[in-house]
Amino acid sequence: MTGPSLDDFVEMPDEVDDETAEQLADQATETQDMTGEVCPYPQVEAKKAIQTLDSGELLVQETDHVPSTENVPRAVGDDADARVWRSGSGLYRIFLRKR
Amino acid sequence: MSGVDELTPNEVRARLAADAEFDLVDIRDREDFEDAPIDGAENVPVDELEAVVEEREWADEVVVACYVGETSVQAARLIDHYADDAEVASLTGGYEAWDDS
Repeated sequence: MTGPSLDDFVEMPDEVDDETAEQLADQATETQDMTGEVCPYPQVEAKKAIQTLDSGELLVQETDHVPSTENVPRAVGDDADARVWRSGSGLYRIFLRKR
Repeated sequence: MSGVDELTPNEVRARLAADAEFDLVDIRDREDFEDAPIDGAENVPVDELEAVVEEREWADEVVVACYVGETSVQAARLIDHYADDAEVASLTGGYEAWDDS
C-alpha cells in the first residue's frame, strides 16, 4: 500500500515523547501487555483495571493494535485521562491516569 | 478527518433481505468470525485489510462490522479513502448488537 494506512485513520489521544513515556512507565500502578490482542479484549481489560485504581494512579497498556489507541481511551471515557506513546516500530503504550 | 455513516443491524438485515448489492465486511479475527459469523458477511481481519484495501474492487456500498462497532469505524474511514465514490458505513454496535437484535 502506497497511500495512507490504518494509522492515519485512528484518532489517538495526545502523544508523549520518549523521555516522558519512560517516566510515565516508571509510575505505572498496573501494566497490561495486550500485544497480539484485538478488540474487544483491550477495552474490556482496561475498563476492569481502571475500576480497581484509586484517583491519580496510572494504568499502562501496551499494544500493537493501532485501533486500540483510540478505542481503549474511549472505552474508559471520563474515568481516566489518556495519552499515548508510539515507539515507531509498531508498539504503542497507552497511559490512562485515573481521575 | 471525516466521519463515516453508521447502520443499525436491522438496516443491514433489510439490505440483505432485499438482495441489495453491497459489501458486508467483518473485520474480526478469523477465529471470532468462524465461531460466530454474521450472515452474509465476508471475513477480512483488520490486520489483513491494509493489504487489500487499495487494490480491491469495492461495491458502491460497503458496510464494515467488528465486535462492538469501534474498530469498524476506523476501518470504514480507511476503506472510504480508497473506495472511490462508495458509500461506506460501520455496523452500529458490531457483532454484539447484531446478535442481540
